[in-house]
Amino acid sequence: MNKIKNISLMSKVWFVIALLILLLWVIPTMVSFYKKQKIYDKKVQELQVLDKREGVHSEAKNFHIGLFKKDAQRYFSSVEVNSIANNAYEVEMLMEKSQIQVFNAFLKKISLDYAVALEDNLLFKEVNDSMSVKMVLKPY
Amino acid sequence: MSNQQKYITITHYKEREFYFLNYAIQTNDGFISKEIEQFHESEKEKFIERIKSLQREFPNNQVVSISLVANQSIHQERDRNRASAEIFSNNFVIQDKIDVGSIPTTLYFSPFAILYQQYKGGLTDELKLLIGYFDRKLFMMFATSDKIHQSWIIGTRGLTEKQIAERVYKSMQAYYKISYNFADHLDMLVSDESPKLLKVLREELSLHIELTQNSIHNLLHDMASSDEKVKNSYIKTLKKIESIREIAESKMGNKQDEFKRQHILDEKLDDIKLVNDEKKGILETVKGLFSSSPSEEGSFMTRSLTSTLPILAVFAMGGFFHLQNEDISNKLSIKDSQIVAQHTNLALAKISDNVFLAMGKNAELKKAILSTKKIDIKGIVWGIEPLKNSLNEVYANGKFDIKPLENFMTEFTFKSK
Repeated sequence: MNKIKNISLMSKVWFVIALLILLLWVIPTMVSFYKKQKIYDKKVQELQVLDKREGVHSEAKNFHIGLFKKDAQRYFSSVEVNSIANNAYEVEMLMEKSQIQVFNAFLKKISLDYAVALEDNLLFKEVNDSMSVKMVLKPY
Repeated sequence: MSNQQKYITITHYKEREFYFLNYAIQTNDGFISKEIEQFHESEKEKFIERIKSLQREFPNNQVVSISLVANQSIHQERDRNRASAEIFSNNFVIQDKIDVGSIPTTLYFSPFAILYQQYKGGLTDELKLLIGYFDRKLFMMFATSDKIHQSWIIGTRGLTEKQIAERVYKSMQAYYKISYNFADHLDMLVSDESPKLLKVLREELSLHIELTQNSIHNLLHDMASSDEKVKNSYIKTLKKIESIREIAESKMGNKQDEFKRQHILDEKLDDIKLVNDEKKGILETVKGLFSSSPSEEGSFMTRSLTSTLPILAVFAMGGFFHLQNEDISNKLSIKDSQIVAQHTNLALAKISDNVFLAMGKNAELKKAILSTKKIDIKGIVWGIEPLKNSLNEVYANGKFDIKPLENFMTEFTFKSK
């Protein structure tokens, strides 16, 4: 008790300010961080359930036209990616009609491999006995 | 000689719940002490006002007090972070801080400094135990002519004289254990007469004890009587007592210089006064809250840095969690978007799968628009009923239409509701 009494007034003022900052800023920020950390862990688990990929599961990469094209060309005969309005990309892929299952599997992993969202609209069209699929991708 | 030219020493200290005040006129032949005044602690304001009125009456003054705290001790080196007073050569008495509160004080002595001044003439190469008995505490130090070797403070409140004597003896034994040197002489300075304690001490220690009895006021008046002793104060002063007298005396009789002399005296005294409440305005009071006493200036930077440590630590911690929070918020937002996107993709893949499975070998797709909300497909059909049934299984109540083509084929369209 004497020791506290002997502390200078300036030190006491600093201490009170520090305490206020701790109570009003640091602790709420800390609590918010730990809450968000918990939610994040839950989201990661939720996404793991939705992840149907086989083999090594890598984190989603930022969308890059060249990279995406190269990746898609491994499955489909022709891949065209064009930039359109609102920071979105129109993708047209040409495939054999028998490759629809491959396309569906590709669809299931686009947003896991790339940080992109697919517009809720797929356009299928027969072109010279092949199937063309058009879709719009929007990076988030 | 008028009051203004007299050099006086005002002494005060607190014992139990009373403040004791005295003043003495210092002369070349010693000091002439006045009557001791006593104030209850509830009359603190009155007590302070009395000191101030004496200061006004005798501008050439020193206000002297004694530190009776139990946490002071003698060291070989000065501690710049604490209040210290040089006793002699390489001996310093040190305590945490000077705490005289709002009571004016210009000189502040440790009982150890007083003890040394009282007995330094009698110190030799032989170890001597010097004891000061003030405010029911025994201030003990083992000294020779060149050094103070060890100091102790023993509280005696609630103890019998015999118990006190035993503790003194134990201290001597303890010192013998660390130095292999026993004090054969004991000098004792007491502020109150205590013949019984002296008798018991003599019996218990079997030592010859030189006893001096003097009041704290007289000891303090004596300490403030010369520069040589004044330098033992915790409160540092550059002012020479003699020079104050000289200044005062040289200006005596010259009434025209009265104001100037007064001004010089005030300037000289200001630098050693702890508190000058008389001229304190609100601004000064506020400034005073954020400043240190002159004796503590040496450690001001250190203390400022130390006092800001908690706030720096809090900011560092807050900054760290703020950045972490921002980071996790971004990650969380990305994960949210990814989960929504993945749900959509899985739904679309399932719809596509269902539509192509439903058509099977009964139809061939020409064009289709698929979304999670609706589908619109067109193609050539070979088995109308099986196709219709299959599509209706996936999308109940969908609109199924057929149209014969010129080449004997049949076109179908299907739209979900």
